[in-house]
Amino acid sequence: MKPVITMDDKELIRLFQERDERAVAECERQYAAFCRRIAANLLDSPEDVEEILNDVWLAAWQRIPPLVPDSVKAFLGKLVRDISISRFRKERAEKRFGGPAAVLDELDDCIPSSFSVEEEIEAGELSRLIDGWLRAQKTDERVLFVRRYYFGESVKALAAAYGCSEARMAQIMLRLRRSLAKAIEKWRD
Amino acid sequence: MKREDIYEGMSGIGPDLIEEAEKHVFAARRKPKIFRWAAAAAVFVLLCGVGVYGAAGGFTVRKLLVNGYEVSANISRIPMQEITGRVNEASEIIPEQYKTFPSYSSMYPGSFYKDVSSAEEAAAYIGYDKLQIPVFPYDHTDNFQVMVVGDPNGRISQIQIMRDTYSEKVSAQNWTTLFTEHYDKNVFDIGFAGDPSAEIQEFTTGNGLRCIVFEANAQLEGRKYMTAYITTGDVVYMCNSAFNTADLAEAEKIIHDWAESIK
Repeated sequence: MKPVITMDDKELIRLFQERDERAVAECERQYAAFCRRIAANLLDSPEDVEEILNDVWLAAWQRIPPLVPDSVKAFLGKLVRDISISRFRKERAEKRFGGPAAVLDELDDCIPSSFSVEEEIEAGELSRLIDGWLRAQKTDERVLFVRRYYFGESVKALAAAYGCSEARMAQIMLRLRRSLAKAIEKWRD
Repeated sequence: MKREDIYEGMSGIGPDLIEEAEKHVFAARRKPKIFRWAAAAAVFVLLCGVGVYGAAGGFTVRKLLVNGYEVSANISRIPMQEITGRVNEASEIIPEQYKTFPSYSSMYPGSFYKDVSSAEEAAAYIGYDKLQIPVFPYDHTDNFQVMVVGDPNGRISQIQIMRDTYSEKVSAQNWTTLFTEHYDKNVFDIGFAGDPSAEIQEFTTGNGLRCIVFEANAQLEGRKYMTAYITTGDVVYMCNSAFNTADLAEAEKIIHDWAESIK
């Protein structure tokens, strides 16, 4: 059997920089399952998922170069999430995407009540803050939060994976969201 | 600050946290699942257990360690000399697309789309004698297209016929995909269902073909989807339907009729 050789990120980025179309094929081979997992949680049908993935490969092709991501996987994860949410905004009226709507509604709880809509935290700073807060959580709870708000997995799915009821999982999530809101408030003060 | 800011902030967390979440297995015990399938006149064999289910019938179905399944099909690549239709025009069009592709374009330069109005027109356009396009039970059709994928040298690697159909209650899409000698793998990774609600079943059609069926809850409350796969080696057939849970029986019938139409 022919061995499967996995290209490292450096080599993959080099292919993009040389405008070699194998970059897209290799990206798809290595990261399609990862991207599909996120998109499948956020979108309603496999057809939509495949369309989003095509958009992701295209966006990667268009952005590298000039961009040189530290981690191709994290970069593609961000693209899937960005493209999914942008599509959700456009097609919200058709009620085609239940995933992002529920996730966004819940994320309201992460905003401290003392914050106004106009009050902003620079995007990179907010990511670092969330990253630091996540690392301070217990492993199971950190994983649950990332699966819900990064991968977009449903509360029902997480409850099944964790072995508890949906109501219990909703409680855990609410507590985590409020904890993040406190961390953001503390950061500002 | 808006909720979208938090969503975008989550996109910038460390890659190690993403990796951890992807691989972590909770210690808690999962509840047993109840499998359901009620299509009439078909004998269904339920697959269960953990690990690789096997590669019989041209498919490999793998249960993921955490949630869901992945399925891939073993394929035989078709020599280009057996594809004689006008689809070969893509060999000239695609290299031109690569040359003229502006960086801001929303099109991927390696794909070329041709609108068709019927299965007969699609088959004639491709010109592959052994190609059979499944007859779908509904006349309402949107987006009937042939998609051709090629490289900057004009080598065609995939040809796919895509068709959307719908009844009053169920929307469905089906894809018929051919792989040429220029496709670089012997395996096509075709499906993934990453939800704990995902169930996988299979049945053998009246024509002796193995049909793999995924069923899972959609994220929208009360909605489900069902995706079926059949391969004849040189061609991979896929059909997806999305529907309200109450219309499960109609969706099952659509999948069943679709599968039986493949000879």
